Amino acid sequence: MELFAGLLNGFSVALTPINLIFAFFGALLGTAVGVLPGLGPAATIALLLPATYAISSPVTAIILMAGIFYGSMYGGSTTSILLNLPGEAASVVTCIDGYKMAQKGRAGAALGIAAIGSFIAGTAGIVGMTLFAPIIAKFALSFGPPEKFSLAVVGLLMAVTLSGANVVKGLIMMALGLLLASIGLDPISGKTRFSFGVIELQSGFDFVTLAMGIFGLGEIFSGLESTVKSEIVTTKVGQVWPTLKDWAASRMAILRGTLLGFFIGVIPGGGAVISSLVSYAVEKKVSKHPEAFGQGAIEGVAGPESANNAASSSSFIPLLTLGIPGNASIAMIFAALLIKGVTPGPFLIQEHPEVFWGVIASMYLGNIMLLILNLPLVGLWVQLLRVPFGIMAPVILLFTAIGSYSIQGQVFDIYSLIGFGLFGYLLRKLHFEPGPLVLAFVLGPLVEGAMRQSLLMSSGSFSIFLTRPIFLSLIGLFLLLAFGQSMVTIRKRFFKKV
Amino acid sequence: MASVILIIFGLFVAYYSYHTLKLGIMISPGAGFLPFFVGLAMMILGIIWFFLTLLVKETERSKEKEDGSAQPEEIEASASNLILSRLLPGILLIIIYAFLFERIGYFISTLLFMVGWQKVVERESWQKTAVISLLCAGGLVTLFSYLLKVYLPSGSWLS
Repeated sequence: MELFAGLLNGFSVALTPINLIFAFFGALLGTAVGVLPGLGPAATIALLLPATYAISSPVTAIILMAGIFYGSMYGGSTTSILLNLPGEAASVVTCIDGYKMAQKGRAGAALGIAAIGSFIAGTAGIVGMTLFAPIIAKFALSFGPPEKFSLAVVGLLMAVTLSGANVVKGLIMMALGLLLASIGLDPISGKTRFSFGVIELQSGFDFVTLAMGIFGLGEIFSGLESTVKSEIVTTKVGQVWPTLKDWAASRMAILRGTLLGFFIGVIPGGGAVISSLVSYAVEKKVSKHPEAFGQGAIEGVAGPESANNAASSSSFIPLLTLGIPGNASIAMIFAALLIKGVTPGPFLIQEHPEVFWGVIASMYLGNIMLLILNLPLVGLWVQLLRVPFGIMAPVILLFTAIGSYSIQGQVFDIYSLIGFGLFGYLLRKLHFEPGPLVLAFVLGPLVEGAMRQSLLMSSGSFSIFLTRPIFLSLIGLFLLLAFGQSMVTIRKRFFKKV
Repeated sequence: MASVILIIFGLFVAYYSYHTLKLGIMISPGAGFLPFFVGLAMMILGIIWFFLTLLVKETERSKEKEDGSAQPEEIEASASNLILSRLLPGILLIIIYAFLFERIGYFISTLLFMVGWQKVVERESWQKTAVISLLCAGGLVTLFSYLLKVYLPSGSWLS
């Protein structure tokens, strides 16, 4: 009953004209930027963060950010299918069969099943979130500083080890993120750390500047030394509604993708990328015609696209209930909420029910909006690829520069932005994944604060963590997942199978 | 090389945290407590990365010897040409933009940046440069000043 009352309250918030407009605007902007190759959800949200400044209501701001997030997830599949250029990492596997389908003149069917699968999975993910999030939030109310510390640290470690990237490099990024987060005034001792007399550094680096620099500028700087130019789009889209035969072939793939995506999305570091890869592998394994995969099998599009959208929805669960963002994109939404004076966590549902339920309700509506935006307007999104890099790049640079200046009205932030942009460019050159850095930067103050409080509680003994069942369970879960991950890696390396 | 920089940087962070920020006592950790351990972790990770890089390089070298798949010199040369002709001027332009932003005002600096970009990085004609620059600068000004209502400097030289 409580659940329905909450959801009803959420719909009354989400259905106000202003929130409806911003949900639509977010989905539209997210799809538009997400279509552009290289600019994934994290970069899209980072670039569009300044758009939330003008919005005073935190509900409206997070509705806009959530719209941008799932809009960019949808947008990524369009270029994967039509041009073999994944708009974001979670759509890489969609290229395999989606592009083959397009080459065979079935681009419309591939786009259609991707949109319908995404809609079903996204909506199912939100239903799951509606059911489970309040229970998890209630459970998390009993968490003290030791639990918060272990949750944040284990969340970070999971994000590093399970993301599939190089673990050592991921840990280096995590350490750098924690260090960057510690710059500025220490809230307990009042000492300034690593500011070296620079007044602007006394309040530390701004998250928006860091995210826009590393993701946005870093991407543009990398693009400047690349010779790849966007091709003129000639692919014919055709009929986008799947036939009965297509539907029969895809429905189980959508169902499996939805379930897989939902559960993988909840785990920090899991998210859309891993869920789409796992879904593709599962579909290939259970198929009666595995040889058709890679040749334009519609299940190879339906499964992964459903999985990555279910994961996008469920990745909101740890954010809204525990206050732990599981990936870089969700970390941006976390930061946007903090800027608006709302701290995500177990108290969110009690202190700001309009934010908690408003976002959930707006996601139901946003998914419908995306279906409407994506099916009939697919041709329009493809036209966006005609915008030359020579115009897009300087406009993005200016947008981020003006955006970072507007945070505190100081030019220092533009210089920091450029610095982070160069750093992001170097990370790409050295094949480092910036996600763990951004996550650690966001979670750094929580990790440090909870650790200090825990040590105070235990009179300086680290044994406090070992006496807490939640800490031990989390560590156990992490070790289990890490063990599973290393087994997969070893199998891949030595048997060259899977 | 990057791993050595990381080791030195980690050492500096740990030293600075220990000496300047102080570690404090266990019941009340000081401002340097967490950064100290982060610095130590960086050093250890830097050492692991150094040896891993050596290992990978060794494997690649033996692989290249086997199948002769070394990076062609032309590809490397074209990448460094692009860095010189596009990346460096692009970075320089955005730094100049930041320098001029408050001094001459955001509209003129935005316009000049666009002109500079189209002429130096993209090597466009003057006609195309003028149209693109005016449209983009005008669009950004409309977005930030009128739609988002963000305060932006009009330039100290005007006041």
